[in-house]
Amino acid sequence: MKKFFSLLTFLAVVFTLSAQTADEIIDNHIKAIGGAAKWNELNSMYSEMTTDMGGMKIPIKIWQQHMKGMRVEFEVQGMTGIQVVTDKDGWSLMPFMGQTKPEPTNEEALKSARSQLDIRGQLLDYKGKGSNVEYLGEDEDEGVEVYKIRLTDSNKTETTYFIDKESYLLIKAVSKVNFQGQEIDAVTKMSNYKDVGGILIPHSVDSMSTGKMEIVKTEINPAIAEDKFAMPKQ
Amino acid sequence: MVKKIIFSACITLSALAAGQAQKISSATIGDVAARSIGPAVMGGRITCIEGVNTKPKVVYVGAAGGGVWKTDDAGVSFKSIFDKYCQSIGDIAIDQKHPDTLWVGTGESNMRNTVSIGNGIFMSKDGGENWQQMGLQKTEHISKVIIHPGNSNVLYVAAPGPLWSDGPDRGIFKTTDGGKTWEKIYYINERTGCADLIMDPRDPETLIATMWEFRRKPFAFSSGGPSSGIFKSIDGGKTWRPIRKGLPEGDLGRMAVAQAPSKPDRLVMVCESKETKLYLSEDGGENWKEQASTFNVKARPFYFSTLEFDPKDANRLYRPAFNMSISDDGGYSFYDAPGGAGVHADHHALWINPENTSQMYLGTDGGVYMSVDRGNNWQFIRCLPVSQFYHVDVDNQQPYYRVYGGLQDNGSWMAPSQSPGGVENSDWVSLYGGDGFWVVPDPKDPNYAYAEYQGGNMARVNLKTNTSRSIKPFEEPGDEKLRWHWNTPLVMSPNRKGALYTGAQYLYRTSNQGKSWVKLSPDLTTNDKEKQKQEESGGLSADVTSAENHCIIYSITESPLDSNTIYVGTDDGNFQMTSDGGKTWNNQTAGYAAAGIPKGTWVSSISASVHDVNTVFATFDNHTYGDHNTYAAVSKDKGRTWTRFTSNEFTGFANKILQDTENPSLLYLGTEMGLFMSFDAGQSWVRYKAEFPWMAMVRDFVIHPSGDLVIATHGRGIYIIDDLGPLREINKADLSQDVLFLESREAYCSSGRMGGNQTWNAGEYNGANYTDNAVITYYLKDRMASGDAKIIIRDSTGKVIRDLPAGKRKGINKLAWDMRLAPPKVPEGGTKLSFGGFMGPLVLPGKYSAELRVGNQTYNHDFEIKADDLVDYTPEERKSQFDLSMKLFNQLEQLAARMEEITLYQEQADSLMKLATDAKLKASIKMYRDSLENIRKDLVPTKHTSIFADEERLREKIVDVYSQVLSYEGEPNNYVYKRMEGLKMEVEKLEKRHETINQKQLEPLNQKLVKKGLKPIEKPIKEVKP
Repeated sequence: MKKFFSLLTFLAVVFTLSAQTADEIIDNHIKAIGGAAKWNELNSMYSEMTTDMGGMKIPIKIWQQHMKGMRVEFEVQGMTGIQVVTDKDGWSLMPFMGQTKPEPTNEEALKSARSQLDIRGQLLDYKGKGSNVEYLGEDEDEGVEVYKIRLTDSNKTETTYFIDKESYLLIKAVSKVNFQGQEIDAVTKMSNYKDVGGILIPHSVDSMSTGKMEIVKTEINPAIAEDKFAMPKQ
Repeated sequence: MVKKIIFSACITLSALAAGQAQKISSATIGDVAARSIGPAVMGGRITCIEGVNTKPKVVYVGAAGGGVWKTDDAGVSFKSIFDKYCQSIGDIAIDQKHPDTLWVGTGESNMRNTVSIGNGIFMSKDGGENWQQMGLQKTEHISKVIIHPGNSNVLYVAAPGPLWSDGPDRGIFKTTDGGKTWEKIYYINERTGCADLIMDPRDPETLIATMWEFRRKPFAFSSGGPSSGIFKSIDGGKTWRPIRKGLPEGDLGRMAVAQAPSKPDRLVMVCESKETKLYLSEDGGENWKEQASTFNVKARPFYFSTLEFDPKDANRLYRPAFNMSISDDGGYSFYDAPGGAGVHADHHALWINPENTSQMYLGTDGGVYMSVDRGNNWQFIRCLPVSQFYHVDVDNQQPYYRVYGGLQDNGSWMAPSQSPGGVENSDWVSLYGGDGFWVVPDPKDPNYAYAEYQGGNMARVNLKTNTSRSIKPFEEPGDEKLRWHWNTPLVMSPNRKGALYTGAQYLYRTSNQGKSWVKLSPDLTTNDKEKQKQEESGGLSADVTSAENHCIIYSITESPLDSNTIYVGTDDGNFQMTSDGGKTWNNQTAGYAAAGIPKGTWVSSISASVHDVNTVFATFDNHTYGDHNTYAAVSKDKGRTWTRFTSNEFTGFANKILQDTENPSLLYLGTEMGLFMSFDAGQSWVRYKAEFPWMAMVRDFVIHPSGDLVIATHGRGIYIIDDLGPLREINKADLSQDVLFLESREAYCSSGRMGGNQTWNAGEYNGANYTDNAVITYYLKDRMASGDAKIIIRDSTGKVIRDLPAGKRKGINKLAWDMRLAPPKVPEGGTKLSFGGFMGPLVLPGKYSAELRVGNQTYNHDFEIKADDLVDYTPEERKSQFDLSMKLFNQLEQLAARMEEITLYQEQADSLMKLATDAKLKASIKMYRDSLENIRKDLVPTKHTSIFADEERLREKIVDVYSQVLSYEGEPNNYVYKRMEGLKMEVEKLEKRHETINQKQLEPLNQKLVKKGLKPIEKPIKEVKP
């Protein structure tokens, strides 16, 4: 135990230098998206969005309960796929290739998916969440001058955040997703921030796995029944 | 807070508007990206390989001109991790205690004629994701980086230092603060640097260094001298003493030294001297004993400087050199490795997995090989595109063409610009051997090309039969001995179709495929005899390979606007011009010298303008005199007077300049460290960074008539920038506007000319194709931070046929539309997907418009889709295919609507079921509902879920026909029409069935419902979509 604490102290020393700058940037970012107080009131969220698959519009619905669970539903030709991640487990029902019963998700895939349960964003109160940040310096991303900050969460999953120097809004995040010992970069680009009840939420999200998604509806703090995340009993 | 941001954003916007016009920057180029087509079928020179001892699947490879690559799967795949930095790599060191920390010393140290230079040492703390420059910029070449095993802040760097000039930036450097500061801990003189450095595995304070006196001139190489020697320190580099016992007297050259990790008293060294030999020491390097050895062990010591002991077995020693030699008795005797066949010669790097010493990676002049049996057998790694091109050319075929080029130590090759499934290793065809340079297709006969190997050994190659005929000219009576360059120019005449130029010290042209040559000039060089003593070149070891041949023609250009105007540049700095087809020559060297370019500078490229007969561009390369400045210039009077281009962006000596063939203000400049573009005729320049290594060694490029820039890099293979159209237009556009449409290459109505042949080539490199889709190109002044971006496509009648999510990046955005309508809505509610229903019909050739919606603004752009001229059907046949596919499309949508309606009827029935109390009524509702369900069961699959279990229902039957019609844009097969008639009847029957149910079951049911005070089931009102 003692060893563990001394390691923490060591890390703290190492990160002090860069964390000061990183903290300033993160503070400005949080202020820019509505402020910590507002974000700390966010407990649940429901969003509807669409993505385009070769001209076919795929509607997606997402329910999120902060640090508890997330349910994603999407529809193709009237068939609905469901993916659920919770703080304890996860399951999916993907009927498109013949799956008829919900199946539990393996722990490795859940590990990186869990970072998404934090709907207030990993940067908010990152220290309290046991994460570390490192300021990687300034860079340019598709013509936008950015600050780069790498956050390593308590699961040791790394995400690099690209924060617009001018607006302090997040424009890109690159997460290292570890799968079967292989690291894959999951890139997400955000834009079209809109004020939803005092907080700014990106309404255009472009990710490698889902393509360009336009968010058409966002509700904050809706009541979500707990069984929304439970795996249906067989 | 939010208000505040909006307010400040408004201020910024108005400030911008009030400011100057938008300047073109690297970001403006945006999506006009380059694509790599490899090749990786052969590699390029590898300079270093290092693996992570505790995680040996992670291996880093450094290339002579290809940057740093990382694999985390033992070599099955690699990714480039050094794209923003210098591509010439000297050494890689991994901090094995913190294996995500690695150091890269740039500047290769295999000091051949074409070696490039570095710009210092770099460090990454995250496995190569992010890098920091950590000093030593002026060393130019770094041969070794060693990290103290107990203290990650202590590093030693061995720097041979600059090759082409004397100077103090060489020797052994040490940092004790993680690279913040460096101390030069050992230095001999301005001509002597450190070639090799080893650290005693028992004691990190004990170091042995070999110091090397060497120097290259443009016309000679000298390895060795009185200052070379081997030195030892036992105090971490504070003091050094020479160790010479048992080593030869006199001058020494380059020395490679290795220490056995499992028996550190044992050292072995290849020592270049008057007679290069192998030496062994059994006392930590204090005393040496000469040991007889094979040719390969002693071969070319300035070039082969690798020696590796097996990490566990002090008797097992590897000497990667010309080939691989292995010793099993600690260096006492050597044998050539079995299984050497198929392994490229010239070895420079070897990493042995210390945990499993049978596994090793070998770096050669032709790429990386992996062995799992201690080097008995090797597997070539076929996914590293680090080939080193000197030149590139293309033929005139359209829309896809062939790319030709010659490679350092890897011959001459050609490949298609696009290929089904991407340009793969198997698409590359070898044409000619040796070191390859210029490869020029014969414009008169696509079955022939001209290729060469070093020293002017040129041939006409029959591409069909793989045979060749040598066409190298000989001296005529009265000629001096012909001097042939390492990289002899082979240049096609733009006016005399099929006529080929070459040059020794004289200029030659052939108009009959090399059967005879016409000498068009006297000696155009300085003919300085002091620069022609190549037979004495090499220093201690003779090294005469034509690499130092000098006073030779290097660049040749005939004006495309006047066949009598020919420009010739030489490697000793002469710029010559004739405007009478070679009768008289004007030496205009003084002209460029007056523009501030040092006289005597290698004229590395000349290009005559296609827009103005008096305008000519040239690059000048003075690096062989230690001057790495970028020299590029333009003359508006056929080379008499020159204006030099300058820019703070420039890095690296200049290799090639070209004026765009369409837009005279657009210039391309390739240097040893990057590709640059000017949009204002050379007044300002931007670095090209779009999916392209920022500091690639750009040696050559050519513009294909279709408007592609095809780029030869010396270490990253061939890149193509497809469709220069937007770049040709952007300097004329008003970039202060928020949004602008730019022209794109004409789109041809096709379902994909390239197809998608799958070749199951896991583990191989696969270069991307350019899109066959219709591209819509637009410029955004700034990244769109708010609002959606969307493109709505309309046909000529104004009907919306597709909407596509659009990019929002700053600068040029490209959006590819597959020229298809959105897929039909197919009947839903089954247990399986209808994959055929994922595709919409291909539109007809014609006029279309794109409406770009950015936020609340809309912008319109008309464009045309042309008929594909490569197809085998008539426009009428194409029209019948389209009409038929639309019929089927509509039939599917009609059925989908019917199915939706049925579902809505069923939903009403379901709600009533809950309200009804009467058992009889319930039974009636159920009967009605089940009748509807039976329709669904006949329309879509409901029984099976597996994709391997067919369940053909009406939807599937129609989709089958629809897919067949969509698969080919010509006249549909005759039986399709018959089949459609049958299906139409089935559809009608099904609809009839629904109507009958409505009449016979629903009406009586509704009466019953009303009687019971319940709401009747009504015809669903279709939701109208906004």
